[in-house]
Amino acid sequence: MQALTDNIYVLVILVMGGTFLIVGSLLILHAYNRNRLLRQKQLLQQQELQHQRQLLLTIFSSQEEERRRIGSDLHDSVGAALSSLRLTLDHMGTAQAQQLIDRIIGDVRNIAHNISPAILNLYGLSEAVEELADMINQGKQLAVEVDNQAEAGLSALSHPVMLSIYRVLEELLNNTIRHAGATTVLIRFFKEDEQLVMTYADNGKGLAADLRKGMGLVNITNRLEVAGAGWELGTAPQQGFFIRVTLVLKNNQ
Amino acid sequence: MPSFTSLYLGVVVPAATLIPITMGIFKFRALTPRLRALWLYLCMAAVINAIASIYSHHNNLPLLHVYTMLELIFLVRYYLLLFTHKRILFFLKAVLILFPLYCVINFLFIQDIYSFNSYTRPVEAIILIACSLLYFMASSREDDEERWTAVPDNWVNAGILLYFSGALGQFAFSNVVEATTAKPVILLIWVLHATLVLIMYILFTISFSKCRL
Repeated sequence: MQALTDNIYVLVILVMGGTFLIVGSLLILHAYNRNRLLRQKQLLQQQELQHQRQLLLTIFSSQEEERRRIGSDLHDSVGAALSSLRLTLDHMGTAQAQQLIDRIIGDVRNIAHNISPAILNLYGLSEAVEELADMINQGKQLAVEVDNQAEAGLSALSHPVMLSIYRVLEELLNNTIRHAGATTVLIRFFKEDEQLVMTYADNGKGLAADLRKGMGLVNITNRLEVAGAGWELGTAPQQGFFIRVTLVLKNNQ
Repeated sequence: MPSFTSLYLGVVVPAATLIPITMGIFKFRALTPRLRALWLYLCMAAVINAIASIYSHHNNLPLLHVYTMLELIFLVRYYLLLFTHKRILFFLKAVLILFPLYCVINFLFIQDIYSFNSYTRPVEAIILIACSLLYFMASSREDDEERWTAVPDNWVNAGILLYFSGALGQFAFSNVVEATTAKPVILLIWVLHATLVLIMYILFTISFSKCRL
């Protein structure tokens, strides 16, 4: 019994030290494993996000392709048929019918143009935005001004991104005309560091809280995210609607 | 000139309680209710340590009997705010009543109040080791949103687990060692124990520092 108790302090020190080392090691291992699992989970989330972006991009591309086809069909077949009809009526001399047909031809051309903007495909985003602004200015309800200081930057964008920006501007102008009660819109393009910046501001009512999550704005933000653009909403100097879109130029060449 | 051992045991480690207490004051608004319960435990520990230091020239072991009860009550309060499972909460509430009763019975009828409470302190250690292991098991099943080192409760439970598991052997055999071993060796064991306490306080300090509003 005496011999056993002589070394009790050695045992106590060994147990204290040993337990501390074992518990310490297990804690470090536990922390390492949890961090590794977290990294894996974050990687999976990023991959999932990337996959969803790709899916959305594919959906948008398919939609645009479909629109292009419909626009082309409308223009080629319906437009051509109406033109023939007009020639026929020319000979029959019916002035009223001719006016009606002229109107229909104009409408079909507009539909074809809106479905798939040919000017974007042929001349690029700068020209397409200018044309969009001119079309709206003709209506005299809204004065749209385009201040483009990034011509080269806009030309360097890939076609899908150009199309996304064009559709976003169409949607924004649509929203301004329908909801904002505005009289002026200023669209600006400029370069800032390595980024292309687009700002859109109107002098209307601004964005009501309930419209922040409306379908129109959700579509706009979805398109921007798929295009890899950053965006922030704000209030324009005249208290109207304001959005700032940023694109990293090198990603879009 | 006091020796290193007496300075370390009598001043440095007891005063180290002030480190997590100060960090707790600095981060008080960001502390969760359970971390505030832990901060209260540290305040209690600081008070008891101070009283023990004042009476260090006498046998101040009766304070340890009282401190053991209070330590368990405060730390179980932390776990009551941490866990949500009904059975665990029931068990903890039962411990909150039964353990202090056991401590009182122990110093009244079983062990001398002027000797180390080697029948109650190891039991306290086992209860708290079990609670911290339960926490780690439960947190292993959950989906993490943050790194392990960013979660304050991980640091608290690491501190509790390291201290109580490391000191369990010392608690159980303290009276035997006291009776059979030379004073320098006894002091060495107490220095090891004090170092474990210091590590626990440092880990609590880190846990408070991780709190954000």
